[in-house]
Amino acid sequence: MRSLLALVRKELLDLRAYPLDLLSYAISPALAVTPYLLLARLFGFDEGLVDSVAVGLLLWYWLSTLFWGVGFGLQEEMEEGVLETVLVHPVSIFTVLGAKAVVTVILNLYITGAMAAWFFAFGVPLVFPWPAFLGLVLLGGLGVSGFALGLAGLVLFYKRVYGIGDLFEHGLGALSGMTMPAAHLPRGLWLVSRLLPLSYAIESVRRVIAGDGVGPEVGLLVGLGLAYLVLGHRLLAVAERGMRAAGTTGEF
Amino acid sequence: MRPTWVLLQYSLRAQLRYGLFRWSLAFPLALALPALLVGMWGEGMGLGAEFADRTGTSDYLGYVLLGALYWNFVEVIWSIALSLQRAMRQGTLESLLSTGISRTGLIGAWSGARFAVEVVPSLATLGLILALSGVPAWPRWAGVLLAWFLSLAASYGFAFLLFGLTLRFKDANAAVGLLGNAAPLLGGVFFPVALLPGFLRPFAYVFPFTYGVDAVRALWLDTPAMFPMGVQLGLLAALAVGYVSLGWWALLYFERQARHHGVEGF
Repeated sequence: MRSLLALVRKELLDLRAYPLDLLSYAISPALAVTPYLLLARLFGFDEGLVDSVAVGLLLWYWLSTLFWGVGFGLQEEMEEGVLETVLVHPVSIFTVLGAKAVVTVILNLYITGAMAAWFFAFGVPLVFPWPAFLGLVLLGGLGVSGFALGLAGLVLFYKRVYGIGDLFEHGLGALSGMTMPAAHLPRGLWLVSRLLPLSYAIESVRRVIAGDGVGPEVGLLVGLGLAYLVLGHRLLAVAERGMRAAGTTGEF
Repeated sequence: MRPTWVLLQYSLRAQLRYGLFRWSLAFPLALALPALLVGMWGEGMGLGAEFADRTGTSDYLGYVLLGALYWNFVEVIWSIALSLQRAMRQGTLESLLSTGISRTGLIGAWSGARFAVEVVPSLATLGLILALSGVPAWPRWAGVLLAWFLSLAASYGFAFLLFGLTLRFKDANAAVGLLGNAAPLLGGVFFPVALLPGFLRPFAYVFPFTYGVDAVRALWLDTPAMFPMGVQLGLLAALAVGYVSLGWWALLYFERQARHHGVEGF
């Protein structure tokens, strides 16, 4: 626990060292997803439908930030050539990534608040029960953690996987219904979406903002999220062993 | 010239040597995917006519894909700031600076390598657009190529600025992220900029890519352009010259400051 806290502190100090990052997090995520909201307006979506797209994008951004913050969390150490130093410490890679996940969740809350403010400026006020929403997005974060760990495993083994990161980030988002409810996908893709925790997170949030309360999807979100967490952890362990066996801890 | 060519080859090989590189083939499509889904949903609800009314075309697939393709090619040059940051992290920047390579050589090699890497995935998206939206007549092709060329020139202006900022402040991710994420919104990559709130429209009108993407769509899909095409391309050219000049000045300014503070290190 002490090592986790020390690593969390180190990550927070990193943020303090680069204040421009905080400014960027307050502005750029909202601006990145707003074109999709404006496109929905272009099609004449009513307020409820635009809200539906907006919350899908908010949740997708959680996935995105966890992907880049945790999945690619070790990329920086690899580029700087300090991953070997990290590996010789009596701290597991899982703990190192856990610290990055804690800081990413804190950042995500900050980003969500900033995005909501920007959406308000764009005429999308997002009036809904925020405590329930935040509870669900935190569970959504748990739901995608396993994928982020799996991606971290790929980074350890293959070194540069930006392309696959983009593909998974956008592909999982699309299948989970970030801008169009998964129910409208072709049947084969809809069946795939039933295997993704993020689908249930987005559907739960849309249910809540429609005033229907929290539904049974939450159980599936948590259950599947934990299952993927175990799988992701396993993949990470296999990748770490493979990396150690190959003897290539950094980029080459 | 030779050091630049060697660095370009090195950068290209470094990008191609990793096994999962080929997955980046999907990128321009990935950028367009959320927008395509909005379009599919809208069309499914019978709102296609509203889109056609506001944009001048019912071809929302072509509209969105063309925006993503345009943007992918324009933005790719900004990755030089990330290449610079990587060299700083790896501790190789000082070695590079002590070689015979000029700063334009560095910029040319890094952006050239990245550009080459993006060609194949962009061709895949281009093929999709050609299949869905057809081929514009030849004189229009020339206009599309001119708009793209001028947009790339303007993009170098921003790239010079990002390069200078990274030299001085080290943190390229924040600057590239900020500009890279704001630009598709300000430029109206997936929608006409008239839809932007009033406080952002002035920024859109001084942003060269607003004119570029609008011109490409107008020439390809026959949507109404913001200005008569000659005027619009002239505005784009003037902005490109202005941004390249400003960007180069900023690069020199920040490089001087960076050398004063010590170029490398975090």
